[in-house]
Formats: sequence, structure tokens, C-alpha cells
Amino acid sequence: MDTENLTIKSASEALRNKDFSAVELTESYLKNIEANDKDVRAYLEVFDDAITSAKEADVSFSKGEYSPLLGIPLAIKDNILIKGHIASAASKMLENYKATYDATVISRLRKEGAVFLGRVNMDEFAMGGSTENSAFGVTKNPHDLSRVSGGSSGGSAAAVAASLALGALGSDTGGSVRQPASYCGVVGFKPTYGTVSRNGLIALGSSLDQIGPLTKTVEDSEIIFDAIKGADKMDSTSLRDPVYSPNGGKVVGVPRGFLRNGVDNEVMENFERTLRSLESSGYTIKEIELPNIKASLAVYYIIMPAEASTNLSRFDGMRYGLHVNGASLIDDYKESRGAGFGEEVRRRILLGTYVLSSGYYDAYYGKATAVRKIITNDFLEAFKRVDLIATPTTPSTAFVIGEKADPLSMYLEDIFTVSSNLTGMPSISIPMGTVPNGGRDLPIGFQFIAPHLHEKSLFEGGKDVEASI
Amino acid sequence: MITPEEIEKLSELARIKVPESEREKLANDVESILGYVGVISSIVGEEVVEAGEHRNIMREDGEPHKAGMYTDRLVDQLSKQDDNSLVVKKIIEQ
Repeated sequence: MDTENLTIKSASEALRNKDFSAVELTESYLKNIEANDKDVRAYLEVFDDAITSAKEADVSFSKGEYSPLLGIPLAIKDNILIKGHIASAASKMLENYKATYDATVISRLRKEGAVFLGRVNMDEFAMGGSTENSAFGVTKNPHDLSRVSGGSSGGSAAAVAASLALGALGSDTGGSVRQPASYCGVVGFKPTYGTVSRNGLIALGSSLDQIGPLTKTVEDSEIIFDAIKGADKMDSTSLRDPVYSPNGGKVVGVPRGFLRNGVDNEVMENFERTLRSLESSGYTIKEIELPNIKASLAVYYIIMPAEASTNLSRFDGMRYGLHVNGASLIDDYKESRGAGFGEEVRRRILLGTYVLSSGYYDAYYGKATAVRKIITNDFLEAFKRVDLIATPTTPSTAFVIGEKADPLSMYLEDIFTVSSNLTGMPSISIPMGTVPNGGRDLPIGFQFIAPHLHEKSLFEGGKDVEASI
Repeated sequence: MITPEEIEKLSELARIKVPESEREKLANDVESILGYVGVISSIVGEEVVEAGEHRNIMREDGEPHKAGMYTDRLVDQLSKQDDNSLVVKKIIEQ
């Protein structure tokens, strides 16, 4: 089976035509994992019940049932709960935690008959951009094993890029689906906030988090999105009755002023070439101003740690997760949290505690909330003139493992992605070719941002980017 | 300026044990991140506070699940249990 060129769409057609069975398809991926994952290290665990699900899918096919995801093998980020399986968020804290229920996205994929191959690596509690913060080792970039896969959904991106799964779920709080997709040369999509239920996703920043697919093509991304989206009474921030806009048009805004500094020359060349090619297929490119976008990363690194410190207070070593015995009850808490959380998680919790503490709240959290609104207004204003906004997904290609030891230099990789989480707008990263780096050709992503609920424009635009490469 | 003493205070508030040897580095990290995020103080604009599109959605109590239906699964995760109860250390001295 030619898994390298298989997509969800083409595999599904082959299954329907009985070119191969769902069991054969899943077996092929399990074989790929066995042969190649010892190098890439995308998976934290391969499920022994994957074949059972594939058998059930074959039974459904034999009854004439069909869904675009029936029998399709997927990898799931380790912060999304699958009942009965461990969900560790790549943390020592939850190393032995068994999910007691299915996340809403999982129950929806189950209903479609998708096969879960296993859980894939990530930065601990989704905090990071390289999976170097995983408590269980780093996931390598399949295009160059000395480099990171990106993060936090690095395992998801690497699994799809190395054909260790046909598609994957990740979560995106500041770029955690799009950035690893850019580094690994796959499509990563962050939907409009509220379109996909967060029920059963281990929370990082609840006003920013959104689950999204990583796939080989834009079409595949759309297939997974269609399966997982929709209102959910278990997530009160899920939109009750979203009205999606039809394809909005072909005027693309480029914030050139913002892109002027900090983007690698070769990345910028690829980006400009992609824009020209879009132009020749009927798009209009306009220069736009986003006056306050420079502050978006700063706003993000106040709001996210604030929400994270609150969300992670639930891990007390009592009801679930790691327990370390101390001299008193309060020492139990401190010892358990000290031992269970890794360095970056501790750093962000302390930072969040600081910006929320009385005396600093107004200057940091209060101000950040106000500036978040100002940035959102900048985008809404820009979208009066254009249908889509384009940037490179990341300023550079995947970096070498261990290269970014200073936390701030790692944070800067999120510079183009965080604004969509602050505004809640959907965005997608599509491979725009490769850039030579360190003797290898490394992939890099093109990012489209659309107004709320304009996913259709993103998918159509994304397909045109694919066609232009 | 963030000092190692402030890190100690924050770790008390956050209930995370941070070894003394790590406080200096954490103080430097937090200091440099706060320096970076401090640029937001220079942003001026219309700071309109308004209710967002996303609202808390309340529901009536009801649809109770069968008693004990989830108990085993939840009790399984407790750090220490006795007769379906979580056992914690005594906090009141006599």
C-alpha cells in the first residue's frame, strides 16, 4: 500500500471500492509505526484496540454503511481524552491518568467510524513549540531528524508527515496546530473559537484553546472539521447555532509592515512567490495595516499563563494524577505539583500567578484584556477591505533540537499565529514548498486568516495555495 | 526587578515546591518575559469593555445520572481511598 501518497479522501474511496479493507489499511499504518517511529518518536502509545475498531469498520462497510472517516486511522494528541486510555498531556503529573470519558471530538469521530491508532507526543500541557518540553522525550522532524517537529502538537504533525497516521487531532492555543504543521510540511487548521467543543480537552488557556486537524491536504482537514464541529452542551463556549459564511472572495491582505523584520529571507521569498502565483490565478493582493499586531505576542504571554495557572490549579495530587507524600496536606500539594510539573509549566504557572496577583493585575492582565480587544478590532477593520489575510506561518523553518534554550526565543516562533487565538478567528497553514537549511530542504507554511465563521474561504483559499505549489 | 524571594512567594501562592537552586534562574526568566510583555503599556486605543459574543450558558438542574454510575472509575484515580472516600491528611490540630 502506498501510504506516502494516500490521503483521507483517497483512502476512503479505496475502502468504498474494496481496493483494500479497513483492517489492511490500519495494519499498514501500524507497520509504518513499527518501522519508523523509533526514529521519529511521534507516538507515546499505540493502542492495541486499533485493529478491533478497523474490524468494526469493515463490518459497517459490508452492511453498506459509509462515512468519509469510516475505517480511517488517526493519531490523537495526548491531551484529548479517550475513555479507558491514558491521557497524560505529556506530563509526569498525568503519566498514569486514565480518561474516565470520551472527549466530545472523540465521541463524534467514533460515531463516524474512525480508527484511533494511538496517542501522540506534545509539549507538556501544550506549553511549547517543539515537544522538547514533553516529559517523555522529543519528537523529531521527519524531514531532518536533528530538528524539532514543532509544537505543541508536534507528535500529530510528525505522525502525518511520516505517514504514521492518515490524519491527526491537535490543539491550538497560540499556534500549536499551525506551527508544527508548517515545520513538518502538512496542513494544520485552527477553527473559529467555539465551533469545536473543548469538552474532554485538557485545558491550557480556555479562552484561546481550540481543537483542530492536521492532515496531508486541505480537503482532508475539511473532512475532519465537518465531523468534529458543532454545538455541545458540555462546552458552554461552543457556539449554539453558528452560521458559516459562504466563500467570501479573493482579496488577500498582506501586513507587509509587520513582516518586514524577523522573517528569514528564503521564507519571505517563498511567501512572495506563493502570493504572485495566487495573483495569477485570480486573487488580488492588497497591503494592509494591523497597527497593534506587534503587541499580540505580549498580550498572549499574559493571558495564556494567567488562564493556565488557573486551569492547572486542579492538579493537587489528590483526586487524580501524581501524588507525592509531604509532611502536611499543604506540603502534599506543593510536593506533588513540584514533582509533577516540568520546568516550562512551573515557569508559566508562576508567571500567571504574578500577572493575576493584586497590585499587578491591572497593569498586566487587565491591560492585556483591553489590548486583546483593540487587536481584534484592527482585524475586523482590515476585513472590511479584504477577504483573507496572509502571512508566513512561522518566521523560519524547524530549528535544531536544543537550539532555543532561552524561553523568550521559543515564544517568538508564535509571532504570526497567536493573533488568531486572541481574536478567535480561523486560520490554516498550508505547505508552500521548501527552503534549503543545513543541507536539507525543509518545509514551510503559508498562513491564511479569515473572519469568524469564514472557514469556507480558508478551505477554498488553501486549495488554491496547494494548486499553486 | 524580580528577586528569588519573589519567586519563593509566587511558588507559595501557586503551591509548587521550587528548589532554592532554581529560584535565581526562574527570577531571571520571569524578569525577561515581563520585560517583553511590558510593551503593552504603550498601546493606546479605544478600550471599550463590552459583553462578548460568547456567554455563559446556564441550564436547569435535571437529568441526574444513576447513583454510583461513575464512582468506580473516579475512585480508581484517587491518590488514597477508603470506602469510596478520598483520604487526606488531618489539618486541624487538637
